[in-house]
Amino acid sequence: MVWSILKDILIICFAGGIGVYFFKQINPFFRAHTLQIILALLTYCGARAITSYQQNHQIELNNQWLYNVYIILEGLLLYYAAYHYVRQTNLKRLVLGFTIVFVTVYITQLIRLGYDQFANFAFIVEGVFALVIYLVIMYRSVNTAQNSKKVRPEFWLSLGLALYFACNAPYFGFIHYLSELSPELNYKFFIFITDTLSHVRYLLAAVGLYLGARYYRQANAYE
Amino acid sequence: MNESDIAVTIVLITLIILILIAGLTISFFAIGRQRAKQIILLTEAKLQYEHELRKVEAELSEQMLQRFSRELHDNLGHILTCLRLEIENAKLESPGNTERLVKADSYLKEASAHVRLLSRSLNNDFLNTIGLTEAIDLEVQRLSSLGKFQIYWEHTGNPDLTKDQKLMVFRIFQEVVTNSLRHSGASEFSIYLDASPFELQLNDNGRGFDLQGMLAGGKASGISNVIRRAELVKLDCEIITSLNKGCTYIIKAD
Repeated sequence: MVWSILKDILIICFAGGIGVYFFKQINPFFRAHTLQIILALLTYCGARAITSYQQNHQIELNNQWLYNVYIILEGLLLYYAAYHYVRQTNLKRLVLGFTIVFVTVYITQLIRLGYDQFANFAFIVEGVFALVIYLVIMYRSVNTAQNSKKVRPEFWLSLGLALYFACNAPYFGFIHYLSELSPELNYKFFIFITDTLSHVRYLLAAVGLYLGARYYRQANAYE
Repeated sequence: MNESDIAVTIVLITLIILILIAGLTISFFAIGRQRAKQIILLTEAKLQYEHELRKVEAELSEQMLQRFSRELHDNLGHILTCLRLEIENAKLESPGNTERLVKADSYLKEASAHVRLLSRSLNNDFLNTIGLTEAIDLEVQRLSSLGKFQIYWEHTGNPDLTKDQKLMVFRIFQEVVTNSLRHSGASEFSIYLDASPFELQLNDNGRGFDLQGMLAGGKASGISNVIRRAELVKLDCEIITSLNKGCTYIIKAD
């Protein structure tokens, strides 16, 4: 259990560390993702701390509110990064539209369920919209690379996000039902799917951030 | 739905989504490759087009020069010949004016010779017939008669060049000489032609110029022309010059 927590923190720290180290060299797209990774790290550590506190003081376990705070900030950062990346006005409008819909669903679900319950539909909506946008970014980062054998660094980060949100959607669709039906199975799925995908996401983010720093440093050198 | 049903559903859907994402990623790469190939083809087609355009431009300008050469030879040459015949007739009819008429005749003779030389130097077919060395020789004779500078001319034979290369080398030679006459203030101009391997060196002892500065400032259209013409026929053109140190052009086979 301790090893699992440590592993998660190390991987997120690794990705965040690269982003912070190269913060001045990377463009706003990667900077937004660096902030999102730092936010993820704070949320993860905060959630563990809250759970530990509640367990020690025999308080009912509930850290869902923290994840609710996290997903709205994560969504806004991801959409901001995508808004900065895309050049066409139509795509920028699409990103804005997705942001508005996501925020609306989030607020609606919070009002209906209260802040103590994880806003899973808002998470799914965030995921679906992020998936669409980042698949477009993946496509563009392959097709606008100067060398047909290479891709732009945004590709790796977008791939991680696409895998994370797409493959998490089925699990998060059933999360409340599963947590009532079988908390043990719910936990197994969390480790098997969400945790693994999280590792993949942040490792690919680390690759993307590192390559992004090199790519934009070289690009600036030619200006 | 029981536990196992939910578990199977979640796992199956996740796997399907994973395969879809993998498929999309592969297709993005395939599209990217295809697009890169198309861009390469388009660039090659554009280069080919520009090459053909330059070729046509060169052909057109040569056609114009040939026409001009023919007009000079046929019309002006003919008129000058007629004028000389009239002077001969005038000499016979007015023996008292023979001295002045002889002078006029010698000027006309000189003018005819210049027109003939100029006509030949503009005519490409002429160049092909007599060879590059002979063509430069005639040009040197014409330039010497102008008396602008002392010309030193040396060669080791007729170089083995293609028709296009001979033409371009001759045009480059004419361009360089024109530039030297107009701008250098030189008193000497030397021409050295090595037939094998081909190398043509043109050198003047004039005021020289800042080559990089002129190329960067876009003021060297004549020089750019020389370099471009050499490149078109796969010859190497080197220009060595600096202020007050004359100018040397070296054109050689790649």
